[in-house]
Amino acid sequence: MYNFLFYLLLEVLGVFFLILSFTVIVIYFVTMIMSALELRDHLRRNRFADYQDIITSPIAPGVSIIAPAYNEAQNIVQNAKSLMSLHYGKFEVIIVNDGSKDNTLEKLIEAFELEKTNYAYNYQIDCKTVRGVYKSRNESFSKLIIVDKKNGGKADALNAGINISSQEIIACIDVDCILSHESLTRMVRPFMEETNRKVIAVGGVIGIANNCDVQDGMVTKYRIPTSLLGRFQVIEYFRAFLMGRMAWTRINGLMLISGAFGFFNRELVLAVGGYFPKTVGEDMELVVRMRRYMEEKDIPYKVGFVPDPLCWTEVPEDEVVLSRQRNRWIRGTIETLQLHQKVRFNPKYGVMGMLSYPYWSLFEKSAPIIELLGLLYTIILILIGDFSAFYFIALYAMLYLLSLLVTSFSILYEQIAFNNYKEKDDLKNLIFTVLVEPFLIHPKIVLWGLKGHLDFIKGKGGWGQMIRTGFKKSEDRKKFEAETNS
Amino acid sequence: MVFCANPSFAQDNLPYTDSTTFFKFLESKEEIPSLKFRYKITNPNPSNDLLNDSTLNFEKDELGIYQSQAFEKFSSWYSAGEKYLLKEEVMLTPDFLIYEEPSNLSAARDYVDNLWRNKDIFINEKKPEVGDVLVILANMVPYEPMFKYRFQFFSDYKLLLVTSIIGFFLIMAIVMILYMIFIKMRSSKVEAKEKIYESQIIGPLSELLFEKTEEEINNLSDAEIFEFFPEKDLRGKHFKHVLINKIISLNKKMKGDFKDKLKALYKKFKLDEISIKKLKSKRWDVITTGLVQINEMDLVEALPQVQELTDSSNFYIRSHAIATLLNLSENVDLKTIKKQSFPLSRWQQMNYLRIIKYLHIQKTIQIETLFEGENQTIRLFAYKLVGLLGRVDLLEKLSKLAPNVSDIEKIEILKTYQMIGVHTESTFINKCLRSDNINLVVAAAKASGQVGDQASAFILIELLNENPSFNLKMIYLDSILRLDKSMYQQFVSTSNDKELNQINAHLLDPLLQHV
Repeated sequence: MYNFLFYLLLEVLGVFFLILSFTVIVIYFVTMIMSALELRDHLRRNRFADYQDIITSPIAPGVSIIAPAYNEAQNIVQNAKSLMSLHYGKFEVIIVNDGSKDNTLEKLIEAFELEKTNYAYNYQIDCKTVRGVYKSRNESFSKLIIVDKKNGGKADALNAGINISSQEIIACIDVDCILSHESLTRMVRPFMEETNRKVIAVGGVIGIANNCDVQDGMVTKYRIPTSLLGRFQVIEYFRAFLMGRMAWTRINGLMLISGAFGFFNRELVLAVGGYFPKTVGEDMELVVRMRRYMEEKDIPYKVGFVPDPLCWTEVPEDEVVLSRQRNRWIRGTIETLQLHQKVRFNPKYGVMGMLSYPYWSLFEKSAPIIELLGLLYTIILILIGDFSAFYFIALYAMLYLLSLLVTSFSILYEQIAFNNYKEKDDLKNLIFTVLVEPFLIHPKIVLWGLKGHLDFIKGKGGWGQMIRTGFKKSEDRKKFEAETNS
Repeated sequence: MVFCANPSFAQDNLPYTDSTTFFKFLESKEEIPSLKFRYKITNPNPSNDLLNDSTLNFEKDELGIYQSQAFEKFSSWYSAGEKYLLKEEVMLTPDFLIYEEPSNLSAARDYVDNLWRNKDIFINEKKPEVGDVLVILANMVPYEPMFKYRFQFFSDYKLLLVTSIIGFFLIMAIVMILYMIFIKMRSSKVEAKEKIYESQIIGPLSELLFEKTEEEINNLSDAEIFEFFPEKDLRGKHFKHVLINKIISLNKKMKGDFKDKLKALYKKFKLDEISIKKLKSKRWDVITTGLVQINEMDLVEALPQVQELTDSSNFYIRSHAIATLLNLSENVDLKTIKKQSFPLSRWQQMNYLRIIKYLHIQKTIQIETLFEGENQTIRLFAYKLVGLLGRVDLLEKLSKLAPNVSDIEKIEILKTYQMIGVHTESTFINKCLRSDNINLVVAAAKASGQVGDQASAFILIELLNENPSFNLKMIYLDSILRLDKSMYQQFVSTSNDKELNQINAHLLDPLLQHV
């Protein structure tokens, strides 16, 4: 009996992996086609956009840039200056000092002649106590507002900034990001173009600044990183931003806007209660919650995406730091998906419910587990002597070539659309990285993803424990539901 | 197992023709399933020897006829009766049992006939000839069609499928990488070519602009033009593309005579034909490019075609068509915008505002036409324009409209009053302050701070006494402060509300004047 069940399970797994492999292939092909169409349309649209108009037009919406800072004393002044020098008419820069233990605040006070004001702070969204709001007497720094608060994490700091923001659009960014002068004008455009739908959020591409020349807060020369890990992240970002997110944008199914560079409709962010500070995936969670709000209220909406290279950041080239980042990402994804289970296969939530959520569940959240299962399945087949080396190699070759194809496609997109990496050696190195990535990097990514799952189960960080024991009892859940259903 | 090796013994023909050959056949078969052999004595007085033969073992049946025992093997039966058969007086007759039923020769033949036809019996071959062995062996293999030169690879469909996909991916991946390299090389080539063309263009173009008058440019013959730009280049598509871009970019930067000369050159080089031709394209981006070029180079002759595109379903086409029409049409009456059935996006409003602002300097524009726009976004744009262009002359019309429009439009009108500083509309503002729509109240409260009256201040204090939200308190207090400082101070000093005190400190902080 047990023998029969064992072999039945093997058979079922075999069929499952076969179907999964072909589903992956189909999804990637569809993604490639959709992203290509979207990128083509974007490039065509871009040709007719006069971004100079937005800078001075009284019709253009105002932007509040919110940048949380924690122990950023070393670069904070330069970063703040860089943000203030962006080309845009109506904007303010809100830097939230999230209880830094170094002298971040002192450096800002000194550099920008700041004074503590009597700002009547309104805790519209809950956040840790705000100790003070600072403004400069110097007119040159009139755009700058500094919020000093108790430490509460990135999401909490962003919420503190949202409370104080006064403009129609909020731009939530990482303070150490390098923004292009045109970043605001280009990111604001989707908010202005729609006629029949409300644009609730717009995401942007994050470029990798490692090994690039940076002058006065601007990237002047693009080069790919020297380390394999750095280069891997370049192609990974191409894949994620230029392919994945562009394809999702095509069908208005985008569920994630990077926390390092995202623009949101302030009114709506306030309506949904801002960022959820108890998850490590606060960026994705906010977008899902905003989308849920719009779907539940039955208001036509759109989540936009701008593929132009406008924001640059340094990525970790050290395995330990990168593993921590990936661990956090997978936990954030699990938490968000767990929190919004109601959306899953629910036609009421449109594309998000029927496509985006299931995709994220199967191909992003469960990918490391499925890959581990695949490995175990192969080992069992070898042990029981039912292993076909030919089919194993064939299947592996198929998936390897698919990965090669998809990545080459994303590099091609970058080359056609933006061509930032002009050096011939850069392209050569990228192609080499594409070839070795599945063998040298991918297994590590899977391992880090599995560790993320394990840490989530253990309840490491944030509210992992709470999710597993059921949301219904959680106060946060109650609050969340009250806010979204109101 | 027995096989029929001789083709002459096809089972359709019986292997015997008479009783003799039948017995020979039985002999050769030795045994026939369910057929037994015996003898019958037809002599009424049989000898004792015969009756006592222990091998034949005769017995009398119910009819009194002597019947021998039954034999399964033909040879045993025959040998048992052989010596008696030769004696005439014995009168021994062969008899048969079919399925244990007594049967005569004729029935036995019928039975054997049947077995033969049904291929249940065959003739025993003594020993096949050498050539016949092969035929026998061939007959042992079940029938199947012969696939001559069949390759085993194609028989395994799974293998074929996987290999085909791998092959496809491999080819695609290689093609992709090669294409990438090709694109990279091509774009570098195009960039280099464009640079060369630009350097070839800029010299002669400057010469034409600085050394020739507009009239001289208009009178240039083809031969003279080819002196500046080689005929071969000027006929090239790519060269023309670079030339168009160069002229348009110079046109944006230059002013006065130079602009006119550039436009004259554009036509002289017949680049206007290329731009107008683009309007007929099926691709929206090509049409829009044509519209941009027509707009930049003032190609008024294309206006009828441009007019047709103003209600295009494509956002970019209709936006640029209207922008072009506004820019080039002599009678700027905004009717085209008024008739728009599609809602105006903010992007479009921004573009139209830029053009209208520019035209507004030169002539009066009938903005009021848009007050009767077909959709709300157009009317909202019109109210915005009144404020942005400072059209005080339209305030009277606006004032008449204001009480009867929707709340969204009222909010926009309030913003316009606030922008221009219309102090005569306080009644309308105060009415809005009493509205149930909180968005309208907020807009009215903000406007009242600038253009309200004493009554507005009283209403605001009433609203404050209703204990509104923090944000509303801030807006109301701010407006009261702007309207009547003494009233503000009196209200704040008598209030015990912590939030009001906090807001008071905020509003009076000089550093927060614009926050």
